[in-house]
Amino acid sequence: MKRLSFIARVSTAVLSACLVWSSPLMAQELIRIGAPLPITGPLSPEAKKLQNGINLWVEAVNKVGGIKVGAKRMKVEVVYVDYQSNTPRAVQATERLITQDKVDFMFSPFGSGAAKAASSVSEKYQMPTIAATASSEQVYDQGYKYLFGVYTPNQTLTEPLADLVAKQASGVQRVAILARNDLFPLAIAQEMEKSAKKRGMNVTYFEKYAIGTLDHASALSQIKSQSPHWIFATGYINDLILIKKQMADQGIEAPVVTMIAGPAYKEFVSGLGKGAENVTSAAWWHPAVRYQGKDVFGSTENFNKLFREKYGLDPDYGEASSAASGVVLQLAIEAAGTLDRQKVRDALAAMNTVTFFGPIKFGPTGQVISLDPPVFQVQKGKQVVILPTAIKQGNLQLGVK
Amino acid sequence: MLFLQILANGLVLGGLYACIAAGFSLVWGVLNVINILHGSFIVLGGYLAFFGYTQYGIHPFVSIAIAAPLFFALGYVLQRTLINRMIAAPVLLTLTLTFGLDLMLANGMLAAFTADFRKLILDPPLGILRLGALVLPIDRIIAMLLALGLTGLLYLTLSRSRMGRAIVAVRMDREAAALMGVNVKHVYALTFGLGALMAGASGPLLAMIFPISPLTGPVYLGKAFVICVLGGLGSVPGAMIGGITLGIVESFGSLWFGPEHATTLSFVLLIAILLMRPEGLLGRKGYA
Amino acid sequence: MTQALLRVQGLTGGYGDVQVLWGLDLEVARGEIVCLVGSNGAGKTTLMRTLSGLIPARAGHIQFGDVDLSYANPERALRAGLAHVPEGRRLFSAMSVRDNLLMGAYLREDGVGAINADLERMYVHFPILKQRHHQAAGTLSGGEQQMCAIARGLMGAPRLLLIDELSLGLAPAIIEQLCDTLRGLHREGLSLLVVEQDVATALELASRAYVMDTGRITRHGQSDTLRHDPAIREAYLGAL
Repeated sequence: MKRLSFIARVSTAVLSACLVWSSPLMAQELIRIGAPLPITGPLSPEAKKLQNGINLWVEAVNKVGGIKVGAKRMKVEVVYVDYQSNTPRAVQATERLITQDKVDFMFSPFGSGAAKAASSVSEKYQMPTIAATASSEQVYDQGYKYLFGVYTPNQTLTEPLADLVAKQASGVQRVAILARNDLFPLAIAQEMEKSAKKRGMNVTYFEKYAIGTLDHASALSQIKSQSPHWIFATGYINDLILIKKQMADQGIEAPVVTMIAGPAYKEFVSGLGKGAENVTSAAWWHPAVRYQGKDVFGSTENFNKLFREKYGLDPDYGEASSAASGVVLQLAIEAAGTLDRQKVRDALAAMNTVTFFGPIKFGPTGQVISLDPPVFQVQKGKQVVILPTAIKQGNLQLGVK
Repeated sequence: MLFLQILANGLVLGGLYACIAAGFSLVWGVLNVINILHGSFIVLGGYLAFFGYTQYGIHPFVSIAIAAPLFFALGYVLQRTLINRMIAAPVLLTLTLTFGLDLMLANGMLAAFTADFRKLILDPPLGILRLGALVLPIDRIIAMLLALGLTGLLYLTLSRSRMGRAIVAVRMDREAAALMGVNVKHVYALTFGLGALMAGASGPLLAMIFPISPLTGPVYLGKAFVICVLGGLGSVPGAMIGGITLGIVESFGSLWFGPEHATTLSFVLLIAILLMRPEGLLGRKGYA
Repeated sequence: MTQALLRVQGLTGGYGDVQVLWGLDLEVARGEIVCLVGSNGAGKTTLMRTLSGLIPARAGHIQFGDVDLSYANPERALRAGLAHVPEGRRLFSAMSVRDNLLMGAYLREDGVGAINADLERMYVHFPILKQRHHQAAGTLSGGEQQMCAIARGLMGAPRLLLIDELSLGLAPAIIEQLCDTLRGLHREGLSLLVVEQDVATALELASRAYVMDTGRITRHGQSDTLRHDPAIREAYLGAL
């Protein structure tokens, strides 16, 4: 890990201050979008991905001269604020970006919990906000008109997964679920419980762990004593790496181990090595999908190519969804032909088009309803898509150590 | 069998907890200083081990030996130059001082290392030990043994060595100790140095098991606090009893009430002890 | 003429704004047992604490052998050979008897062997301490604690031992025992300055005595003389 020197940090701060200060002079020519992110803290790996995606989109759109607003083109600038993985601070950051930095549009903070908390602020100021990484339906249940999310609801992940396991691993009867006590991880765990029960499986263990838990030994010992066939753990990447490692510490084995949301990231595999083998997961996007889009990237393949050129690795769903939120905002502004917030909002609500990320149509709550999330498994150190059948790259392998 | 596994988990964790708390308890008991820096010292020791391992290949066990004298010196100088000025002041004032110093240290670490969680993963990993149906990760067992060893060394120092006797004497009766020719200021600094040493040396041990981040400092401090109340202040046996009790309570609490309540349970226990037996299980009577 | 081991001249001092000692003169010769008597509040304890360096003097002079202890701290006094057994004994109560004694030897640099030899000597003078040497000092009886405190003071190998309140709260038989032991130590070369509430015991033990009242020495002289002095008898001895 590189350590930024104190001097480098101070100069960066001074430079950004100058940039922010000078931007009113350029206000006429720039569209400014606020992006509060957990740049430091336990959720920082996720923030890095969102920044990668957003920055790639900004580069692509500014390269063609900017977003078309009516007759002219306006370039884009994203204003990042670090809320240190602390949800109350995310809300404060959102308020500050809207009222003090006076941004034109907003991206949500990371995750369902923070996105929901910050959405009240956006709604208060009637600020169109795109959530790149909020999938739980509870985020969109407040009747807000200004929040739009590009992740489909949680059951669109658990249903295909449960289906697959029920069909291809017929011995699976006992299911153990361990969920992080946070909005999205708990919500998706509850969805999984429903999906499993619907198929006649027996959920023998369902417990929550507190945010910031470092030691899961007790919970895992309990799970081990029940010898479950399917272990389902939810949390964010740091949690899941810790849980899987502590599972190995206790010698826990099961035919199927599913973790959401972490195995899609390269960090999961590099952090666990052989420990990641055969862990299954589901996500809202995978670089193997193929769509021809009407957006600035044009197609999934082109997006992947540009991403690889800029960052030297393949994109994962967090990086794609943050770029998609930029793409979606751009398409709405261009359809509305103006920066007027009400009109852009209406354009978002009416959107029905295809992008590199997939078909985009928002439901009445603001959450996207048009996508088909892939299910995948880590096989020999690589993420292999096993659903949907149209793009599958391999088959479900049983047995996780 | 589950019972035995949970008990084993609790004991292993408890040994580590005892080490975390021993230094904190010593400083509180002898100097009447609640050292808020204690948690951040542990984290700093963890970073030392992490960077030592990832950049220079120094094994965390070796880092303990490096951290110990460094933190002792740091603690001694800090006490002699700053904290000693407030030594006669009420407990809350010295708490404010160490709180302020801790803010500086924690934010310094945040700026230097960022809040990202660092995980010290040994390569090759140490594996697991199977005793019948019990499964125990070897890295935890070794960390626990080293933690107990360190705590034991502290105990021996306090009860058998000349300086240890002087520290205990100062704790019992400062003026009488002065009458014996003890330089009380020096002893205070020595004690603080020992507390810092225990914190810094347990850093590498904890780094092998838990992720390292400036944000975890308060977690360790909180546990040290609870353990001191549980076991009684200023005594190493007290820290041992308190640490093991906490480890077991957290382990079984997680089993009976669910993992999300494990921490809550330890604080409920803290309140119960404060109400029923405020001097802790061993009380102030147990010395060194 | 025997040399003065301790010579105090015009000693003035007290606590903060409160002056307790008003220009005291006092002497202890080499090989003497001297006692200090006076009613409560006379300043006897303050004097002891000033001599051993726990409290700083405000003015005056303390000469101990060839060392000027006027504004010294306890460490310097101890190194010079002046030890103080404080009022109330002030043992380290949860520490063992043995560790208390070892604390008395804290400053000594003559090696473990010499210290252990002295430890054995203490056990000879005070056999009960040997019996209880692993017990916590706080669990001893009053008399045993006083013995422990005196032994602790002696472990510093002092030339002059100050004892503040020798007999307070002790049974007459124990007091008798203590005095015998002190006389034995005196024969071995120890000089003593003893503060004693009970004037009869004081004059019995010491060869010379000072009488102190409100921070000043009001009378001094040979014990025999003072014992027969009508004023002393009236004030301190009642009907003898």
